[in-house]
Amino acid sequence: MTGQSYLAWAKDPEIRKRGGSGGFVTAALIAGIKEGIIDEVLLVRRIDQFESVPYLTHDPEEVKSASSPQLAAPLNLSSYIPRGVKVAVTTKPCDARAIIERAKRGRFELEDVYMVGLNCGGTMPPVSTVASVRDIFGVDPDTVTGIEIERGELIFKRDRGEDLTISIDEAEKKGYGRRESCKYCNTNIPEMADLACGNWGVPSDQRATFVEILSAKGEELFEAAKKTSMIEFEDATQKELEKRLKIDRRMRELANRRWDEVAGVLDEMDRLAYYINEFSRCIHCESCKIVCPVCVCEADAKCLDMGQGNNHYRISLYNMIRLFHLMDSCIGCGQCEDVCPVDIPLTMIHQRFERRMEEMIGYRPGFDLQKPPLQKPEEGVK
Amino acid sequence: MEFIPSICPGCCINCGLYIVRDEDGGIRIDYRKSSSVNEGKLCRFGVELGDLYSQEHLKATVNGKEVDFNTAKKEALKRLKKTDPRSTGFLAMGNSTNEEIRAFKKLAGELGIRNIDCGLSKQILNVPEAARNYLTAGVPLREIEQAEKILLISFNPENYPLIIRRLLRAERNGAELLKVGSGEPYVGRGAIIVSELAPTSDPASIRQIIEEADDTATILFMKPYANLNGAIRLGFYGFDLIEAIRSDEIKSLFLLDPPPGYEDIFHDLELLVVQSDHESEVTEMADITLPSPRFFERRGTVVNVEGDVLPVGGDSGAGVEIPSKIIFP
Ligand SMILES: Cc1cc2nc3c(=O)[nH]c(=O)nc-3n(C[C@H](O)[C@H](O)[C@H](O)COP(=O)(O)OP(=O)(O)OC[C@H]3O[C@@H](n4cnc5c(N)ncnc54)[C@H](O)[C@@H]3O)c2cc1C
Ligand code: SF4
Ligand code: SF4
Ligand code: SF4
Repeated sequence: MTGQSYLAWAKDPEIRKRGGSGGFVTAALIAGIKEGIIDEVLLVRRIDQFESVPYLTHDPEEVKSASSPQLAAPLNLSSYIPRGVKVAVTTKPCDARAIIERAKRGRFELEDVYMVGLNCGGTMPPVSTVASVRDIFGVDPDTVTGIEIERGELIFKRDRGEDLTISIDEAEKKGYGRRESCKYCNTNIPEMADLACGNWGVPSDQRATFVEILSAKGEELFEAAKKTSMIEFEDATQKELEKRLKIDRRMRELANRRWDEVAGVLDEMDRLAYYINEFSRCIHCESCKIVCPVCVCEADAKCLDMGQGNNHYRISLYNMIRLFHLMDSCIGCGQCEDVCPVDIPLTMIHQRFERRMEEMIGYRPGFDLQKPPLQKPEEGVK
Repeated sequence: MEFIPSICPGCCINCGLYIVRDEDGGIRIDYRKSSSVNEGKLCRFGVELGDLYSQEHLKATVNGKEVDFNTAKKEALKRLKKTDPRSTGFLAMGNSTNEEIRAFKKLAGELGIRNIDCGLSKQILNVPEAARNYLTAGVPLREIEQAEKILLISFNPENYPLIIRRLLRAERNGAELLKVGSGEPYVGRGAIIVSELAPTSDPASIRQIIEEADDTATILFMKPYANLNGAIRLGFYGFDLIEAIRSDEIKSLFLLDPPPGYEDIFHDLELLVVQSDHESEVTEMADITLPSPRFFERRGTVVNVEGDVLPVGGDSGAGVEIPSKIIFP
């Protein structure tokens, strides 16, 4: 069954209706709990349209109430995974890649984690998303009940009043829309997860989730959903498979173009001067280290030790050490840039190094359990 | 894993954050990206807030001995009543909620004590009453990004790191950004003027900033503690207690949520009553200590840099009840 793709949907009409696509993910998570495959589910719980938090539960009703995608929730769930329990996690590609990197670094056993992957076209910063409703449409953001991106359109759903729609391109030209790091993220289908779920490939008149089974664990969850009669499904047709891949290709092209625009600017300038200048603002709050899912160093980390704010080097040693440590491991999740209080474009800078390394050594972090080459001592070398 | 939306008590920006309680009872912070004032970003104080909240909780004590809360409270009332109101003061430097400050002020009134201060009385009283609203006027930080001209008067942005990105964006948007030292001339027309109002600020320059600004200028006074805006708006000022303690004019003091940095001035007091949430050098020298809930546990509000009244996020009213229970047992 691994490698198979289906159009699947929840049998429970309420789960199907509430789900981002066909409610398959929610149904499979509940089935996983009922069948005793997983002890806990880690997902994203909405506080309102513009605020969500990670949530750990084993209660099927809570899983049900957390369905639907939260676009203004730029979280990375990998840091919230409990040790020693079987846990299913809803994972965007950056969550899944981070989980694999954390497993490599001994944070938990990958065997214990069921990655229910979600395709991802990007998350949006909550504050500018709230502002966009007010600034672009002149509408009170409190009236928004849901946010969707569909066929290039950003849609704010409202119970009262008409939905608000703008093309994502136009919104982003105005400075709103997705996080910068998401615009150039070129991994949109979580192929490293156990299941990849999304709406790409699903015919527009059908309410279903496109599900690709990627591993034995993914198979286990799909089987549980079948066995508990939580889902209905049909094989994905060749046309649907091709449509999904075509959209993925297109998204990747757009992301790569964006990357060239953003990172290419540096090719033309004195890069050392650029880095010195950007890092000169660093206040050594350490937030970028705290949130970085692939960094598992503790308080005795070298970057903290050598990068005290009061040193007199021309460039922040803290950031330099982080750059060297992450140049084969940064997965481009954007978390560091999100929290930097002085707006250093950290993800772009880390990715500039990582993407270059990727080309040079052919290693891509977050796809399998292969150790990062720069941190793996060569055989026989002490 | 419970996420409690809260705010940082580190300065007047009151950055939004989550307090996360883990299963093992540990407390740490997490980044609240939906908070409009800081978009999830924090300075080092906010990042380390979990450590502060994990510190030993203050216990009720009298003369250094642990007692039950009622004994400490009764003893506080007994000793405060014995003091001469003219040489007794109530100091609340803005690390408390509006509700706590209001209750504290009420207790001072009931005891006939008029020497109340948020640490800024010297500066506030030097500004004509009609112009004091400028001291707490809120300015949406987004407006800084869109300003054409910004004057930083005797202001070091590094003390308020969350301002730095706003200034940077303003500069990228073409704003003229000028640093002005104390006493230096400037033209404030159409500018956003950012300065600091802190216990160490020069009262004359605070007054001058207000007097020289015309209707086209916007003034923003940054403040170093959580709720000095609230304390000022609630009228918690009138007497320069810090100076009076230094000159021995004040002999007895009730101190609400003291910030660090003033330890040296409290040594020689005849009576020091401290209400606080954690142990510190100041609580160690106190005659009586009264424990209040940790900041994030408090039910109450603060007035932030943008002039918004924000809930602190907790559900404990104990910090408000302490002053009330002292006078109405
Ligand atoms: C930010 C985001 C962007 C997406 N972009 C695309 C896209 O471009 N193309 C595409 O084909 N599909 C995309 N998806 C996936 C799609 O929207 C559906 O989530 C997916 O098809 C599963 O639908 P469902 O009805 O089976 O899931 P549901 O039954 O609705 O369950 C979804 C689960 O995902 C969890 N979740 C919600 N938000 C997040 C989040 N931000 N991070 C992690 N978990 C979350 C929920 O808690 C819930 O448990 C995106 C999803 C997200 C979260
Ligand atoms: S970094 Fe990539 S996977 Fe992660 S939220 Fe952004 S677009 Fe999605
Ligand atoms: S360096 Fe930044 S973008 Fe890269 S993995 Fe760490 S947090 Fe994510
Ligand atoms: S988040 Fe920004 S300011 Fe804080 S340590 Fe990292 S680079 Fe420096």
